[in-house]
Amino acid sequence: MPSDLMQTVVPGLIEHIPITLVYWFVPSVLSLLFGTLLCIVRVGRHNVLYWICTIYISFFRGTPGIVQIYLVFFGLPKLFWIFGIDINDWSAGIYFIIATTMNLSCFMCETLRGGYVGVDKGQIETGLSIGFSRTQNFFRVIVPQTLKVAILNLKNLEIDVLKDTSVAFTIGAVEMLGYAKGVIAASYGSGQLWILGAAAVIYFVMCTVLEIVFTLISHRMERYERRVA
Amino acid sequence: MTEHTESPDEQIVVSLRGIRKSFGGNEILKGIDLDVTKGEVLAILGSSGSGKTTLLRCINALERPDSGSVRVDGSFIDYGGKVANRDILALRRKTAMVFQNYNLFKNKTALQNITEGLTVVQKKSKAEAEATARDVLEKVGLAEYADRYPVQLSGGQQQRVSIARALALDPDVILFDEPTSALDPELVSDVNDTITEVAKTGVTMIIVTHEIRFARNVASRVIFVDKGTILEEGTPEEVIDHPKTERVREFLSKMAVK
Repeated sequence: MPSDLMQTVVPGLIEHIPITLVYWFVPSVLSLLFGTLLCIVRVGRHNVLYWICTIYISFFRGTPGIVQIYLVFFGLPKLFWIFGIDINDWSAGIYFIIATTMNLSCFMCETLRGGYVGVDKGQIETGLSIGFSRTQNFFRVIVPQTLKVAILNLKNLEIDVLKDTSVAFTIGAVEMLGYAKGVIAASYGSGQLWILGAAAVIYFVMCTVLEIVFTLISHRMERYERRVA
Repeated sequence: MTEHTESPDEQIVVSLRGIRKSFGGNEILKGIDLDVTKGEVLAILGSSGSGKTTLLRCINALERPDSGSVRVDGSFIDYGGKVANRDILALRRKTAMVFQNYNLFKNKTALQNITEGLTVVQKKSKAEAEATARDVLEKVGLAEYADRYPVQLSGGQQQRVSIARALALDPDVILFDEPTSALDPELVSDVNDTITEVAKTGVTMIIVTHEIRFARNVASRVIFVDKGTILEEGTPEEVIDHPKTERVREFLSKMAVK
């Protein structure tokens, strides 16, 4: 065991938990929004927008996440440069968040779509029949019942996203694993199993907490399915 | 096609003119004209596929007619032109519907199912909505089931909550879409009794049903829909006891055998 493991390395890993959480949370929130919008298009009429979204989704689902991160990291500045905008000084973390959001929105969309398809259409008609506007019906009937069906798949998705923050270091965004790799490199690989092991334990704890939170939410959502009053 | 008319002594609540509706090139409704006056209980009879449920769903725009017009109280929609969502919403807020499969919100208690429309649509306070909800639950004999979720209620109880929900909205007309056809036979009479009680309070009702005897008891007027048109129309005595056409006689004799 490296002598400085408990004194400096573990505190250093812990210090990088917040940035890891940012790389998880920001794309998650943005993807919930964009995924919902994509989902609304995907369950609607098959117009031009539908096909654009469908192709976009199939591209992001059909290519490796790491390739997408590189494409965004190297490609986006070039794309912006065409319009005379220089984004080269944006930090790697921002590119990681953009790439992850673009990817996660697609998976979010399909997860929500699966939930929506599972909602009893009679529930939606009922909302309309009692005079809900389309917006009221969306937020009061469609959203809660869609989330209820989709919650278990959302849990799996979010755990994956949390773990996948660990690839951010490949474009130089320093989160927890990025920090660990830095320490390992500085000590020429000595004690690397200990350091990686410590990181693994922290990831495991974070994922477990996330899993528990989702389980509690889904239990709360399912309370109306219990047959005993 | 006749024009919509306003008559002060016989107040027309629901008025349909020239309602046509096709599904995939198959014309289900072939130009229906129908007026329902205030306090009337209209039963719509007809065999499966006759278009009677589609007709009912055209009234609150759950199905949009291809052409024709619908008036409910002061709300008017002409499907010949462009239809605004705002007009549909206004019309729906004058109606309430009781569905074949009850369609209570699964994630709401009996009480919340009723208060939902009162607080969200009618902007009543929570306390006022709950008082109304308890009142209508009492009327359908389910006061003590207020806090149950739908899954914890029998089909008959769910349908009675659904009737209470419709009543609470105090609509100009309540539309019933085969309210007992998804129920176990022994629960049917409970629901029918509830509907009969509600009818006595003077609420305007349009009921699509397969049950001849129930229609005979509850309705003040009966129409028989066949192949997308109104084949017979009149009092229950006229249509059910003394049908004019062979088609209705045949239908009634088949239903009587059941």
